[in-house]
Amino acid sequence: MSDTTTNNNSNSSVTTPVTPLVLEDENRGVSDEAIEASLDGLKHNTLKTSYTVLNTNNPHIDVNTQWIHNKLKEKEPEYTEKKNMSIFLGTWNVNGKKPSEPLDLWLKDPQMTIQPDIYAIGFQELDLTAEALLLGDTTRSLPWEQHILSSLQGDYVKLLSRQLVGILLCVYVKREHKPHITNAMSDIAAVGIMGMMGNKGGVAIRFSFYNTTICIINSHLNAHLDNVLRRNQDMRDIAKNIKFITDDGKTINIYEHDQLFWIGDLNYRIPLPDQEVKDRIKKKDFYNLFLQDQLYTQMKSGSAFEGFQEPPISFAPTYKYDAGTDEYDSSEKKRTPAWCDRVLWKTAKTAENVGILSYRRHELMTSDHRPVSASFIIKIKIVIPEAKSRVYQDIVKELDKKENDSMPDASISSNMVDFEEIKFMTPVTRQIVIENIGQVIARFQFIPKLDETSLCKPWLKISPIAGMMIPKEKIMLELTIYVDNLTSQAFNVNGESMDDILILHLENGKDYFISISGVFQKTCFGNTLENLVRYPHPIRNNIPIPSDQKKLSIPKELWRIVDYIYYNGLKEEGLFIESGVTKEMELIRDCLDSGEPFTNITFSIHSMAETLIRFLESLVEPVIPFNMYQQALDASSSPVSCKTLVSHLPAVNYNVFFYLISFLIEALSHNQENKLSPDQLAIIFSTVFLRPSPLSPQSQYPPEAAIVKKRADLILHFLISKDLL
Amino acid sequence: MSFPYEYIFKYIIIGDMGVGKSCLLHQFTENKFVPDSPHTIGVEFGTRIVDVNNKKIKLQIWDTAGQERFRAVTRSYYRGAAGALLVYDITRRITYNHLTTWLTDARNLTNPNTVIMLIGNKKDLEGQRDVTYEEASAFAKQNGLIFVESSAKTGENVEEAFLRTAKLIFQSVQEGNVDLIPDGGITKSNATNTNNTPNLGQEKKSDCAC
Ligand SMILES: Nc1nc2c(ncn2[C@@H]2O[C@H](COP(=O)(O)OP(=O)(O)O)[C@@H](O)[C@H]2O)c(=O)[nH]1
Ligand SMILES: [Mg+2]
Repeated sequence: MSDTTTNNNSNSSVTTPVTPLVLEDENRGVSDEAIEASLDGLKHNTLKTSYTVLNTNNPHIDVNTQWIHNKLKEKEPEYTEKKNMSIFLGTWNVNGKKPSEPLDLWLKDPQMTIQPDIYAIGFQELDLTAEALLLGDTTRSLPWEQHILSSLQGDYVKLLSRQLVGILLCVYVKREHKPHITNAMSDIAAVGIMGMMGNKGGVAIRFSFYNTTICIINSHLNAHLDNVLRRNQDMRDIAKNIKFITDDGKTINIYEHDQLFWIGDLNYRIPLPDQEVKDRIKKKDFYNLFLQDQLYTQMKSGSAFEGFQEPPISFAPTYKYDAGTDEYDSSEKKRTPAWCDRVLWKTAKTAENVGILSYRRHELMTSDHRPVSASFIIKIKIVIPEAKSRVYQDIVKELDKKENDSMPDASISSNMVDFEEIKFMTPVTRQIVIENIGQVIARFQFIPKLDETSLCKPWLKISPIAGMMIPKEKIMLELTIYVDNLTSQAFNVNGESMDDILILHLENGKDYFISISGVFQKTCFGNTLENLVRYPHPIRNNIPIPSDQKKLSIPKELWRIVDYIYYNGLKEEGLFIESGVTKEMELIRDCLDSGEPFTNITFSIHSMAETLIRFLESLVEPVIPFNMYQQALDASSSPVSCKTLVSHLPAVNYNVFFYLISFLIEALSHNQENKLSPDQLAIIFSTVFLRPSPLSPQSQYPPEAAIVKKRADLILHFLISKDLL
Repeated sequence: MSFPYEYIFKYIIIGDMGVGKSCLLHQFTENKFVPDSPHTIGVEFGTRIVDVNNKKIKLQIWDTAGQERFRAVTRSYYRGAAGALLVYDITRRITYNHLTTWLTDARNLTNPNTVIMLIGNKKDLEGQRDVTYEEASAFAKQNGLIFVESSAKTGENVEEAFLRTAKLIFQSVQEGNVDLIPDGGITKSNATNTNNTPNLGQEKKSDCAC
């Protein structure tokens, strides 16, 4: 496992990226190691989180990873295959003896029909010398190990062995399985003299067989009939002290394995009179004898080996014999026979229990103990990497889908809003409806296009520009086009078409483009004198004549207005003073733009008079252009200066000025009827003849009285001294 | 590794309308072919976590509208893309002819390390083929693009297109060619920067709040 991971890492750093080989690799999907690595990482992270909360301030992410991990575990059956494997566990207290007889009776039991896939052989009292105890000398184990290996029938290799003084544990596996065994490691725990010497204690070996973890403990617990509690304590101490540290630094204990086996000389006795025990043995009444067995009673009361199981015993106690004979202890001590040598197991809740094949004793006579063995069938989980990778991919995909689904989504009633005809100063509103069709709250806002600061063109208004919708909620958006003096130039003069694209952005979601279009009805309002004189025909559906052709001397629309008033209203009382009617003025404007005669519509003379003022007011630049505004103010006190100023006006402006002043003088000649005074007219017309540029600071505030007077004076000079023009 | 992904790469999918950009996105993120999905009018996106060299990378894919009239607007989405998938339709030469324009946009509006991949889509419609593999392949070579033909319908080479691009971007990152800044389209996941959502709108939020 560790090797594989390292290989992968080094691979990645030298990868050439675009070879087909690599691509194929990707097709196969994510490697098992990668999954493990990321999941391992997860566990670490969980640990870290609890220590350094500051570092991980996004619980959402951890939840995601945890979710993937749990799902993967949940779906384990989808990518694992189960295979039956057999394990043989043997234990023998050899009482310090050297190998002297063949082990076939023990290891090659003729009744065993299959060759075990794994052998785990444990010895106790292999070495009773002081050297072993005090110096940790383990040379005595060698002859035994050789003896075992030569007795195994078939192609076995040693996986690992570990010794603690006289306690030795060796694990052998069929050669074919070796590559599938990973993370093999061992540990020891001494609980002997003073609770730490190795004359009593346990050794453990753990490993992963494919994806099933197995741990085997061989122990020699304290002896003597009365030491039951001591043995219980020994067991717990061994269990607690044995720890394995994996390559990635994780510490695991014996219980963190799918299958845990505990073998050895556990030294539990049968607290009955010697004779009674022997009688029952003779009668093969093992059942009733077993009910008195200390290990059985301790386990039953939950005092030791909690959760462990033992196959049913149907053999005579294996201790204590006169070595080399079939006779139980005939010495003075007359030790009562006991089942000292045992095999127990414990299967993790998440794993499948083992199947018992056999539990027996074997008639080897070298020692005062008989060897014991148990064989089991274990269900080994074999992860199919392709399948796991597929399941993993599916899980990640599911997560992605969830994430994609949890993005806000909205539908929009129209991506294209056509306003059709738009007239000057006439607002038109269209509505679009957006609906939250996603599963989460949707926040939306209009955003500007790249390198722009405003959301839309100046003639368009959006309301609202941002908002929020709960799922299924609808919101109506109003889009209003309104073209005024300031914005009409683009269409009237520059010939721009009326369109725009709005970006409606969903927070954490997609963007919608909304196309806006309309056709602006060209008008003489919001226009320039310069442009208007290039329209000999009605402005609405015509284009200007080329600039090198003969232009009109004044805009014809101006002429039409003035001409009408001249013939129909010059004597009207209140002319230019009374207000017109908005609706009528719209009709008049329409006639001016379309070329229709005024005879088709009805309106009061005041509407026409106000139209004149509004027309002049709407000019992009007034009759006296912006760049002459200050000069004009300065000249206003002197009629001569005013005359000079006017003579410098551009040709069209001069014409218009001349034409209008002449007209106003004519109007004043009827002041008997219309009651107009030069001062009134000067004030009214000066405000539209003469105004500061909308971009200038002066235009930000209403003009001071002195300025108003100066402006009026300029016009007044011309109205009262006819020869000034 | 503390996150399910260590990097975020931003991708854009560009190309004429109807070449299958949205279908490619759906095929990649959902393994689905949605034949009659409405035209994209705007920008959609999807995400998927992928593995590159045992690193988890979150791809954040922006699918843009291909209509000519949106061209000016979609340009704003190029910024910060680590990868650009330039798609044409092998059955419609006109979409192939427009590649140069798209490529110019992509080159001008992304940074020099942006990986651009050319994708000839609708590979399943072999009978209607209008652009040969060889021709497109030569074009790709000339312009230094990686090239693959795919089918958003069958799913063929869809995975490859996205992953190959990711792999090249990742290589760039490892070689240190690319700064790990959000605007480079590549974000390294860490505790302080876990904002994995598109930020175009958020960037601009301040602009329009006034
Ligand atoms: N046969 C075939 N049709 C496709 C494929 N990809 C997309 N289409 C179709 O092409 C049309 C346009 O696809 P869409 O993804 O909306 O294109 P987009 O405008 O580039 O986003 C749809 O009708 C799809 O069903 C493909 O690989 N094979
Ligand atoms: Mg689309």
